[in-house]
Amino acid sequence: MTSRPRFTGMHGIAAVPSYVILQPTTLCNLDCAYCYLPLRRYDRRMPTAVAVATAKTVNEWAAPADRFSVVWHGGEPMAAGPAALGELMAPFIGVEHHLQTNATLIDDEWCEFFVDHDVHIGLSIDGPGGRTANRVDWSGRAAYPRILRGVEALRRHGIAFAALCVVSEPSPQLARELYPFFLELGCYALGINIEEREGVNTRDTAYAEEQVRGFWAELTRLWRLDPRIELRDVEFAVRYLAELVHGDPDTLLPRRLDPIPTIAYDGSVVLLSPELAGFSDARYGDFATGNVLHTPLDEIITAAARSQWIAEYLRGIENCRDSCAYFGFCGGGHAANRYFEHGRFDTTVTDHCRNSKIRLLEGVLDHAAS
Amino acid sequence: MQHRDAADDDLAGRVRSTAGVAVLVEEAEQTWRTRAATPGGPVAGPRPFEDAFPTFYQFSNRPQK
Repeated sequence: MTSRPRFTGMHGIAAVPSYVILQPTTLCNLDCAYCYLPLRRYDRRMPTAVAVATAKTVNEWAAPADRFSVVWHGGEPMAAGPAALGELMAPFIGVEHHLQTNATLIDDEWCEFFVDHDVHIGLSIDGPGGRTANRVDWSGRAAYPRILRGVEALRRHGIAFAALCVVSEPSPQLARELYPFFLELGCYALGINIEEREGVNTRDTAYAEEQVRGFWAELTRLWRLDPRIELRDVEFAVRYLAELVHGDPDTLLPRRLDPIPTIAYDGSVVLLSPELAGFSDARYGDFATGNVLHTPLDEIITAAARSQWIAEYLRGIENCRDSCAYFGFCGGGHAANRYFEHGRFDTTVTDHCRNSKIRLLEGVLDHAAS
Repeated sequence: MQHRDAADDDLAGRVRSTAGVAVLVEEAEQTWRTRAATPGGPVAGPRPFEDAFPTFYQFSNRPQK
């Protein structure tokens, strides 16, 4: 066996996150084929008391931090309406607000809201119309025209936006369609999420290795030709290569895992993987580790390792560290991917690891070698 | 194009010996420097890389403490 470096990051869970995710409503006006959210058909609203309770802790974290983000996500946050969302944002002080949206509800009124509240926008769009067929409303109508109307509204108001693209059939040809599309769209950054089998989405994600590597290699080639877009995945891979070539690859991972608290509409808190929110298991119980209406958020995080599933997950991280050459790049498989693919948390490689970490890095290397 | 054995792979050695990696890295670092130096310029930025996607925790989240 080749001697590999021992990476020292990702030991245990940090006491203070870099951001929190809040779910203002479970409802989404779309019914995307790959969506993992179990309650997206129902409009369960977050009461202001949940935001107030969350803000008590978050404001203390944000005060000494250079930047602290509150992310509105999980369902379509704009389905809550601007008045309700504004009430939920009001208790937070000294934070950046981010909103991940399908863009279909964006109009001039919302744009004014974004400007007034200094909201950072992330759009979910999967490419040109023919590649966005998975995104439909509850009547089965294509969402694409409404997404583009939302983008037009953002442009009218000069609001910058990032884009998140779910890829269900990775291939070099798809990369050749996507990158020019996103250049034209005008996003400042692009994240690629290869579809994941998690939550209520049970579709097969065991894609052919050659196609996935070819997708990433082609995307890398296109990005080099015109790097106007901040291409999250490829750039992170190149960052790791840079550390391997002339830096210290052990510095890339955080020292500890970000707890990434997701506060659901009812105040329940799921740590580490937002995709576990709303799920329970006979063996592990509810994946929520507390509720901000009863326990301060910092205390919930401090007690996290006592949760059975989180303790098992931390063992899983160590298993990744011990067994995978890509650990210094990846930091260990995510909790939701392990659970929804393997039924437990101490396993190692998942389809998500293969498609979005291992083959990403190998695809970038394939490109470099070509 | 078989997936390598993740336990046995000398990834660092392969990267360092792959022709083209050094140039790719050099170009990327130039892009990042340009972003930092030219707000509103031909490439996005300036922005700490980690802040572009706070929602998406696949990469680069850094807890405060």
